[in-house]
Amino acid sequence: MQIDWLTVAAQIANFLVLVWLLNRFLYGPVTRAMQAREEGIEARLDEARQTREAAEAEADRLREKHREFDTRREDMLNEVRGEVEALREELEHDLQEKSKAHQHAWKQEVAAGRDDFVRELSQRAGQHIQQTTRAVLNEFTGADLGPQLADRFVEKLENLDDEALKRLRRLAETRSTEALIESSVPLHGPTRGNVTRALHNLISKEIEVTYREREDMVFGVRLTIAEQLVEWSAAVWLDRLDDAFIDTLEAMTGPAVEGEA
Amino acid sequence: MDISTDQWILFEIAGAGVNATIGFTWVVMALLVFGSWAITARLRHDETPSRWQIMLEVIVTTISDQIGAMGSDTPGRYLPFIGTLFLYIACANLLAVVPGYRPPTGSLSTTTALAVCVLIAVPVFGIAEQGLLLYLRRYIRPSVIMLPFNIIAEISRTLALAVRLYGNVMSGTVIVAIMIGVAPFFFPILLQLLGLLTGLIQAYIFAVLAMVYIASATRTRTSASANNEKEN
Repeated sequence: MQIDWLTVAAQIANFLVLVWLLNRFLYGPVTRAMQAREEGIEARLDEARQTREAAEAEADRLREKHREFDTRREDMLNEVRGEVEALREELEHDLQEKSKAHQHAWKQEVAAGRDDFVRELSQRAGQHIQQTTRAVLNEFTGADLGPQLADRFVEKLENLDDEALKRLRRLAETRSTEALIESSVPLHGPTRGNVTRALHNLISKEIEVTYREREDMVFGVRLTIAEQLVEWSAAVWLDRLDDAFIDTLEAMTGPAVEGEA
Repeated sequence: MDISTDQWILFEIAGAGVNATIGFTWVVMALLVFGSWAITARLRHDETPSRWQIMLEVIVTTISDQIGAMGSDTPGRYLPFIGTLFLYIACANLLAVVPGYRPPTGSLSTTTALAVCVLIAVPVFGIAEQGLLLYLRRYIRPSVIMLPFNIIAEISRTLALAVRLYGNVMSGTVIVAIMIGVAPFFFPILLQLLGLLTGLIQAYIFAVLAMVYIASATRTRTSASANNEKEN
């Protein structure tokens, strides 16, 4: 018989003891160690997962903040662009206004210069015309223009309305007994006598008359009593000459100032 | 030629003779327990275990995975029994390369003892898992007529377990002894190396068959039906 039952029983006991011993010294400690390590790894994985979630949340927060910054920056840029556009329009408007003001001033200055020029031109032209007329009349007729000029002046005095004569008389009585006769051509003795006589007859016999020749005066005679003037001259003809000059200049250069035309 | 170690008395304790089967079994037990204790006494629970600890963890994990592969949901419950079966048989067989050593698994008494342990463990685990009545009902399925056949099957597979292991180990030992007489150097070494391989395989087969028997006993009808439906 190959089987020794006593040995069988002993081997069963040995095996059961071995199961208990290995469970005590091998399976239990190794299983616990592996479980502890697994729990440690799981804990670290959880920690890593939480850290990752926190990092992702932080990344999301930063991304959102970045988007907010972009939006704010875009808003600020739009606001600044609007302000710049408004400032540019304001500056353009100011520039246009200043330009218009300068243009207006320049045109006024040009117009004033033109008026001065026309006045100077007409004055000189009048003088030249007077000299030329006087020379031509002297050359061809040998006549003195003084008497004709005095006659025309006396005629004008005689044709003055009563109101003007009364005013002259009142001035001669109250303010001054001197009368100044200015003429563009010299008035000689008889001519002066005619004029003086006419003044005595028309205004006052007490008045003293002073005669003076003025080169700058356009062809004519001017009476001054106090501040009152009575004048006959060719100025009205020179005014027409001025108008003709102005019309000619405006036809060549356009109107002097906008709104004045 | 004496092919059984049961008759080989190594020493006596209090007048009782200790045969080689028991003596070498104690040696194997001492090796396993002392080795385990020496390694597990310095176990590290951090992530840098020692090489020996890694080796133990690989062994335990592999056995546990194999138990799980047999269909058990709780491998840890059967790990001490199945793992000890495998480690004991494997260690007893591998030590055969040591001169003067005779593997206790070459004794029919040892293999019978292990088979009896399996024979007892199967109903113990089955009753613990399913309850006494439910476990006993499996003997009369599909009908009462099957009761003697099921009992015979239990006994025959236990007998097969014992004889298979005994036959393989004993035959290897006998063949090596014969070959030493015929060709003293080359063939015995070759057969010893082959014996190491067959020793490991026999340990694996014994442990796997034991787990299969336990799994078939602990599997409930419901889970068995569900598994069958899955397979279909």
